[in-house]
Amino acid sequence: MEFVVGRAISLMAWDGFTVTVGADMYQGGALVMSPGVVRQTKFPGEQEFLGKGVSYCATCDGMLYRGKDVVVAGRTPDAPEEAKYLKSIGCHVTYTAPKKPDTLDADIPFVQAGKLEIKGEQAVTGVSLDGTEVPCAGVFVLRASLAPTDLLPTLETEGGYIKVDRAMKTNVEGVFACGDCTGAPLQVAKAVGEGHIAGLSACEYLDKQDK
Amino acid sequence: MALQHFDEKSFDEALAQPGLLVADFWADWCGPCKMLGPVIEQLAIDFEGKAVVGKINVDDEPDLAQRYGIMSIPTVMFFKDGKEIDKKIGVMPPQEFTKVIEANM
Repeated sequence: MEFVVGRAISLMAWDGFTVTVGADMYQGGALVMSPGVVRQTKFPGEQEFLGKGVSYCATCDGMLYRGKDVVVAGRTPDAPEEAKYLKSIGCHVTYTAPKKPDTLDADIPFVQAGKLEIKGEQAVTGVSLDGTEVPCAGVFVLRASLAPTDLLPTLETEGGYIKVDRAMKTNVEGVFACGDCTGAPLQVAKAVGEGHIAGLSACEYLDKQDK
Repeated sequence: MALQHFDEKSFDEALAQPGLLVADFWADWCGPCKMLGPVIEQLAIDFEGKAVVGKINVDDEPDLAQRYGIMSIPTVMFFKDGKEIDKKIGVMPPQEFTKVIEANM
């Protein structure tokens, strides 16, 4: 049994499930999602320009912006590391966040801003940070987690939570969810119970596959 | 024939032919691209004789990546009779790609 710590960047449901964590891939026959709840809304322009200048992953797309101006919208403690990586491969990085992180490289320009708007035409041309325009070719939005529906667009949700039945089954075959992400009460006791059930359901699903 | 690996010359030759052409832009530092690899290989096998399916490494062929404004990988582009008909950005299940091919065969 392998235990990996990292952020899942993308998921493919084909012949089981494959998840990418950084440059590594992991495969499994069933998937249990328990990402918790992260309150986040997309910035104006974020969805529109996803893949056209907006990226969630510095290591995945950074190489395509070498020699270009990029803005890193850091909303997670390891965002300064990713900004440093982008700079190291030759991107011209500007970092923006509501508060300057202690771990940010001294020679990466910082713009303090709470509001961010992504602008462009066919692709990103710049961002507006609390009203100040900053031209750029790419925006790396680095949050603590990816919304489950960004990882798995066919996943059914209800009222902002992942929809499950009593066996913690979602609408996608082989995918189960548990904990805060399935809804209230957002309490440990519920999360543990659901985790237990999701695990059992996933095993039962796998046993059926083997037959 | 199955999966082709295009350079600029072989891509332009394929583009000049009538029919369907599918091009997967990828790089070896891109985890999701590697995940999509087997899906694209399967497409090449399944649609042998009906569509030309190939991969373009963006590090080896930056001019091609530039030509099509590739800003995120994987990006899979679809061409019919030399003209762009669709573009899928990001990892997707195979049905999303077969849908485009089948609708345009």
